[in-house]
Amino acid sequence: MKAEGFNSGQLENELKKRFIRVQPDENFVRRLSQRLFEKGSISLESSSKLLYILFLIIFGFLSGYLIVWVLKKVFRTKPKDIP
Amino acid sequence: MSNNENQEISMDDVLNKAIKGDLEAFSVLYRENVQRIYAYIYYRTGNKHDAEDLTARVFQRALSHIQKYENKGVPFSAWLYRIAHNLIANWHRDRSRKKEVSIDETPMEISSAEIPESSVIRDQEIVELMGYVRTLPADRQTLLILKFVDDLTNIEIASIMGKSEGAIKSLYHRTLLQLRDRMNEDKK
Repeated sequence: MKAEGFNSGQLENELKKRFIRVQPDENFVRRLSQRLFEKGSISLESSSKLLYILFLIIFGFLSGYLIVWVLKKVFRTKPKDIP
Repeated sequence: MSNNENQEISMDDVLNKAIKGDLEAFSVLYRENVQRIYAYIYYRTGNKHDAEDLTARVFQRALSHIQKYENKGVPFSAWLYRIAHNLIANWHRDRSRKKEVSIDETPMEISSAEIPESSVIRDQEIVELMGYVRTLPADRQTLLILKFVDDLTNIEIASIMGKSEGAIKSLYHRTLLQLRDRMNEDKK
């Protein structure tokens, strides 16, 4: 550091003076605390995962139902087509 | 036994209770760390809205994964910083994908309510400094924030950033040189 002639102390002092710990809004801290620790609250992360799983299950059921319905239609109409 | 040791033991106890699912214990950890995590995210994102959103996500993620946390004697805050670091990286990636305003061009919002004993000149100085800092690579920004905002030692920073103490010392020196060069370039 010295070999390069760089006075790091001066810059460090400058940084110490200018960098300050910004404070979060007290209301935000309180609201977040309530959201995290109030009984019965579900975190957004886990609720979005649950919604995703629920969506997959419903989608699976609907697709299955649609496939069965189409297959039934196809096999029912075939005998009528025979002269 | 000194007060510091007593405090460490009690915080360790609180952490172990939190790992076992004690919400009250986790709320102690939350109160202990929320300011520093917010400040870190605030300096990395440059605005209050995203800092609040990401701070909330850090603690939600921490709460949902606390039972998997292994207490190895490293400060609990190191784990929270790593969660914050990952979320900020995702946040930057999403922003660059959306091709909104460039991150470096985003103005730093400084509100007097967030800064104790603030003044117009002081606000201007911080905005100016952050302009330089935000041109540095992400790991160098992180290092400066942890060192000067949070007043952490090289060992603590090393555990948060997953590097050795020597690597942090070296990175710190290179960061100061780079920052000085940027500031000098602008003055010319």
